[in-house]
Amino acid sequence: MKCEDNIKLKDNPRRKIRQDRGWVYLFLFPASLMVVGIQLVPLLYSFYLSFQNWVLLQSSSPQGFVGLENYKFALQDPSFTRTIQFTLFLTFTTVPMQILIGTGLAYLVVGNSRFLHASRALLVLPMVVAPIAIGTLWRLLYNDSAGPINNHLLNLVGIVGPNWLGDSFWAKIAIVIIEIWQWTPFVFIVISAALTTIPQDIMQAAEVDGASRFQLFRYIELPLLAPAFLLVLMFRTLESLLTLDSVLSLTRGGPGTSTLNVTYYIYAKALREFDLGEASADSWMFMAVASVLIFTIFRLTVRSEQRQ
Amino acid sequence: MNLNFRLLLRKTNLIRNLAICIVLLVILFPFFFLIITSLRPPGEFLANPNILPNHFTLEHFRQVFSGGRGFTYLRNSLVITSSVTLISITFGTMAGYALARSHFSPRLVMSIIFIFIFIRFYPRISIIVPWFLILNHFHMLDTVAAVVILHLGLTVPFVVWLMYTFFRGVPIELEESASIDGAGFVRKFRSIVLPLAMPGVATASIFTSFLSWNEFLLASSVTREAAKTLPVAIAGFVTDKGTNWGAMMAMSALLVIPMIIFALVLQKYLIRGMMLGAVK
Repeated sequence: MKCEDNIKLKDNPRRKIRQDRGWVYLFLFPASLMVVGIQLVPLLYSFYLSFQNWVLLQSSSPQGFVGLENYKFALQDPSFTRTIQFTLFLTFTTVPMQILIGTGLAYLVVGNSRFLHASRALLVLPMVVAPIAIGTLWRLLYNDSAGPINNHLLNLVGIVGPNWLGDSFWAKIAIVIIEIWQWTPFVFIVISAALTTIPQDIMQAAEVDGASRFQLFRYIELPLLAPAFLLVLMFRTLESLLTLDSVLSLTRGGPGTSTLNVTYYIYAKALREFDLGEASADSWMFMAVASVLIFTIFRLTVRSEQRQ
Repeated sequence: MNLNFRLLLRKTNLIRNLAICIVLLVILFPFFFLIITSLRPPGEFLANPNILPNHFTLEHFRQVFSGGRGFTYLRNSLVITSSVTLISITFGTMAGYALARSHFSPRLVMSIIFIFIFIRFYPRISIIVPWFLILNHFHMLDTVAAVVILHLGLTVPFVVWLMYTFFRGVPIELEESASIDGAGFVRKFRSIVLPLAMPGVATASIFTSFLSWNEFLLASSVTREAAKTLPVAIAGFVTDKGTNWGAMMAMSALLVIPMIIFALVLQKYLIRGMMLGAVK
């Protein structure tokens, strides 16, 4: 029981607190029911399914307990390991670029003029739009004969553009580009916000002491921005591992399976092949990896809350 | 010397503004192209190499809405987004308040918050198989209600988390003096805390609408045709009989433009929702 705080309030009788307790439970009930019913119970069900052999096209009920077979199969399946490779490729290329460009942008538009304010508002736009629409839109931009990227931009500098979505290498680059385009604004916003919290007197004092702009960045701003960078890194890594919409609408995993990532692979296995057991096992393995990152985010969030 | 310095300053400013303009061009051009293509005469995309069309037409929008399919998708999206927002704000705000003012040990509160953060980020793909089976069993596949339920699972924890952090920032002294005056739990919530938390409620509503309106994975895994939302319909367009770029862009415009307006008019709230956990 943790009621010391409440007891200190002389006019708040015990009975009242106990009454409040009823209300606390009542207020929590509907939301908890939804979280447990919509998320946690199905998750446990999927854990159970991950040990079952069940292809819905063959049978309308589970076809028997298979232990760790589904997990073992996935790890030995070369097409699954290829999707893992591509997923990691996507994360390792896009996230650092997003952080670099986003930080650069934050420095570029820092300031108070009306033009800068408007620019900051517009810079956010890619992030608020449905990734599914971004994928379809860029399909059009990448169109090898009529799309403006090949037709106007690259043509202008005299380069014959590649067949973006028809070539397995360029299709990967195409996804990297739209991921950077869509999510750099996220980094930009977080770093912009963090920049405003840097105490100006420290900066000025260092400037008076003759520190160069780079030294200011390296020895004052960077350490103060470190927590923001860490959070951005975690957020973006996690979300990039989970990417589905833009890949699905841009390349549909193709050409062949060259741009198939883990989420898409599981999605197809569950809803096209209806291999429920394997899809569940794959998603639980994926969950284990994601959990590590989620736990880190949680720790960082709690720590930043305690610091306040 | 002074003049020289000012000249240099103006020059670097010029370069900086130029750089900003280039960035804005890269950011905005795709949106511009989306609108232009949706207003282009049919068949012109491949035939006319110019960025601007010969003339503008609403033909593609008419096409999207003819036969009622476009209307159905738009209506589904609107119904789903508004129900999800209404329900999750109601129950999420209540739970967030209860959690912020509960007698639970900090450890318990933190575990609950952890569950919510977990649900915000875990691979959603994991629950599509169970939900497919559950909805199939109850003959609820391809219904608007199914999508609403799945979206609630996503938005409710989020609203609880957001409102919890918000209510924690509301000073408890106000409620204490109210309870000395005899106000009960519900009174305190309704007439004291809720009005103060309106910015939080606005943030939560706007972000919830954004989440539900744009959501694709869950909606696509439990709908076939009747309950399709706009994102699902757009994704389906690619495989339908070749690619009708104009109609596809017209439908994308329906999906994209409301969010752009949201982002420009209510940016503060939308961003605050997106950044929850990243900045405060």
